[in-house]
Amino acid sequence: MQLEPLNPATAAPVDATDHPAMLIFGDSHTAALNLGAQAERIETGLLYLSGNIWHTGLIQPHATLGLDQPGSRYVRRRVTDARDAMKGVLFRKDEPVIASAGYHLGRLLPPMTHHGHSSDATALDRDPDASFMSAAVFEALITLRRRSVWRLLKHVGTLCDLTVVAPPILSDDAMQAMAARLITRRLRALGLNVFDPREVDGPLGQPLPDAWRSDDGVHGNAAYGQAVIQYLTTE
Amino acid sequence: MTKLSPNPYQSLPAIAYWRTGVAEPGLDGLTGLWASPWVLPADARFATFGSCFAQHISRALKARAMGWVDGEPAPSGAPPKMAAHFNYGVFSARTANIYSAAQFRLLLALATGQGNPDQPEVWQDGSVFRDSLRPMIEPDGFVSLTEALASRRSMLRGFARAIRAADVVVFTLGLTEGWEDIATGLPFAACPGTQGGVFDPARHRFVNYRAASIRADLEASLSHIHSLNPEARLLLTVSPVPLTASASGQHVLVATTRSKSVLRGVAGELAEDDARVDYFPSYEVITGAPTASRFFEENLRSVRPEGVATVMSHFFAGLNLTGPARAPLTDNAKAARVAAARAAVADEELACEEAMLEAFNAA
Repeated sequence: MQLEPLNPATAAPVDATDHPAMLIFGDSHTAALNLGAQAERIETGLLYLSGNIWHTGLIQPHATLGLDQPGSRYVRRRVTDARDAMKGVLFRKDEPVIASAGYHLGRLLPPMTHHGHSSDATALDRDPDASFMSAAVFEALITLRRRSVWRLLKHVGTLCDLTVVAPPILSDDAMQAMAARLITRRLRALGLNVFDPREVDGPLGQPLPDAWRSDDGVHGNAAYGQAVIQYLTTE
Repeated sequence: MTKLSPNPYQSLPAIAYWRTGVAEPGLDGLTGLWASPWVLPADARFATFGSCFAQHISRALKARAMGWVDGEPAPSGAPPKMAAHFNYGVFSARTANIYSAAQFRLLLALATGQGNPDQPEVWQDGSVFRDSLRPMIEPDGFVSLTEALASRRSMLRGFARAIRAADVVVFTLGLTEGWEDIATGLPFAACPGTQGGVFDPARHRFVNYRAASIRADLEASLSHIHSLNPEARLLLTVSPVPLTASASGQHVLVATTRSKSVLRGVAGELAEDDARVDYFPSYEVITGAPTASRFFEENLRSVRPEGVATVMSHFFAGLNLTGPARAPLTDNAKAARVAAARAAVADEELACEEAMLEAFNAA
């Protein structure tokens, strides 16, 4: 289903004087970042779309909304809500936006391992049924699945002061680390500013301690988000 | 006219005589070229390895939804084009082309745990690494020695998996000419320096395998195969594709005839001597007199799609798949078999590393 494009003339009026200082958009890791920003007394607007939606690669730039997924009323509603929270405009020139997007490792990696493949050579020693895939194969697969989101982020990066935040380190899984580093490298190659906790010396650069984990165990919590926001604002 | 006494020729079938078997039926009328001696299950599983011509058998089996074994599948989610780019699904494991019986034997030995899989050379070319057992398997080379060796070990696992799962291992013999490490005697997939590495006459030497050593390599290969799968059969074919280049010192036409004749002879004799081995005459279909070379492209080397289709029609006509299936055939499999492989094998490109030698032709 194709939704009608919005008419700029009838779009919500813009009140640029009283909008939140920062937009945070992306997948489920936005929750920690949003809570962390609020803990730092930064007023935020939030656009959360699940990793499944980002994984499809169907989110597109939109001239008036900022983002959209053709045919998805759900996405349009979430985007519209976020735009309203941002007082009419998602992305403003030179104003800060944080994106937790372009990675979505929880959706990205499991299908690749369906036949026992790993990009970690040591997996062959641990698992007699494991198969190895080269870095080139790994990168080709990741690129295939994430290219459209990366292009979207590149476009967004031209509209605002965008920082992409890589997901927290949830385990010492080598494949997750390889994928995250690869994506960080590719996003930077597009000219994007990326914060990847894997590159940080100190607690942020380690697997999440319990004190920084949400109840589900696979996301950061407010304290982690606050640590990231503090790092971004001070470093 | 002298009355002849009864003799064995009087009871021979028409296909035993050139006039009635070849000249009169002509190319399109050839029948009975091959009949498999094995009663295979209706869902028989085939593993395919060997020279580039073996890829046609892989494709034809896949196209007919027959039991083609993939011991080293591409990672899930890889589109077919990407998988093919990285040489997944070309053979039943990512072995790349196996041109010689010596190389087949080496890979099987390593796959069965005999020998050190890290011993064969890995060639470093600048910042990339190439596996001397399959130099072009990774299009842009491996990023590290560790990666090259891990990929090799993974391939050997897949190779063993494919053999274990197969009812029939199809191996297409390609060349008698090869190169080996002087110190270890281990064969290379290609001459060092042609697809990677640096040729060193103090370490690398040319070898033109003779019938006895090829037979020994094939018998050892069969032994390795049976150590993995005691029920497996070995179906040998000989690639009809001429040599791109010969390092033997002979004219390449003479060298090609020498090479193919030796391979054909060894394959036939092994099939005659061992009931677990058979020979399928793809070589004859393409190069025999009835074709008058019409199955070759203008370069007189590459095989035309219609030649491949003819070969595969004889292959499928000669298979005996009347044994009970392990599981009922799916409707899709039935439909695919009916649709046949003709279209699927028509216009695909092959990965023939040996053809890269033409780049060294100074003429």
